Amino acid sequence: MSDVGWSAAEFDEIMREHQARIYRVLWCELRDDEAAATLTQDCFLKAYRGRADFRGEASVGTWLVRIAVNLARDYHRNRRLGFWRRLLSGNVREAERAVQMAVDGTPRADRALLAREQLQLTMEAVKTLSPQQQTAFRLRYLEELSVEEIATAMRLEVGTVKSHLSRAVSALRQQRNQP
Amino acid sequence: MKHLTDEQLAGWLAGWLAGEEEQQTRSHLDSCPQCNTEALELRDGISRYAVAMRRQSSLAENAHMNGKLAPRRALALHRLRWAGAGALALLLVAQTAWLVKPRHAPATALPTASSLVSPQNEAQPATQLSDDELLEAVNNDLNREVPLALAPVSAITVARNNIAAASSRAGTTGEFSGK
Repeated sequence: MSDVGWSAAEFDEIMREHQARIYRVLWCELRDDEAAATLTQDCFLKAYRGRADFRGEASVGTWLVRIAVNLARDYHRNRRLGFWRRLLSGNVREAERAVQMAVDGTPRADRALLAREQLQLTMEAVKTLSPQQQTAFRLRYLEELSVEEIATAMRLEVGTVKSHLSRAVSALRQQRNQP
Repeated sequence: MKHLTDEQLAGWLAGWLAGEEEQQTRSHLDSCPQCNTEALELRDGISRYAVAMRRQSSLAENAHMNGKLAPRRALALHRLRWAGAGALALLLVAQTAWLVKPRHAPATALPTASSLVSPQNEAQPATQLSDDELLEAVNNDLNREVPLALAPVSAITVARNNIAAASSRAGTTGEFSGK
């Protein structure tokens, strides 16, 4: 598809179709509701302005994910916001304590306990990955992009994507095998 | 017995294995309870992670994306905002010039358009969510409802793996080698 076939109304339709995914990609990258909302708009604005650059080699969805990943990367590079993130990181300890209290204080059904443990293990493992590895992991398992689509969205070789996903498995195994 | 490598397990989970490698991995999973258990646990953990992130992202999106503008309108508003900023800056320049001129005061630095109209550039990191806060939110979800089957890593991959596992248990050979 090229921009020739995209009226503004059609682009609105594209936006409606892909908004949830783009917001999710950005939210997972940033963990900031407002920033994800703003960058979701920026993503579509950028796509709308640059629609002439879309050559159709990838799907529209992959193209939009690529723009979103770039926006998230630029956001992370912003030093001023980095300062605020560091400033706010002091709240993490309090959150940890709150979670621990919730875990200790309430009985759980076995199944819920297992689910929570598996989830926590995965989250802990993901935290040990590099930002690029995390992105590849989420694009595969949350967005269900193929390794080829991830390579296109992240401008990487397919082999590098596989390597990132293998590294994620390694981290998951390490977490699982920890006493 | 030599267990699965990270690459093999990652390939099985992400669904990129093919041909002989896929057969080898599958037959190992069928014959090695340790690897089988590990693979299924990692897969479940990833599924839970994906479901949790999707759910939390969806909640955030519903809360923050309602009322956001479509790209065309956002673009128009963006231009209008800058036009307004320019007009305001001109007005202030003219007003300042008018005030300054009769007193022969030295020219002072005037506020720029961007300094006058860029509140959106202020860092607003107040809602950034840590892993622990996310986990707590997910815990609350899990406590309300414990679904038997959480959404799969990939519908196709999981269905295929489940069928292969079931047939293996029933003593059949792997006829599910196709993608």
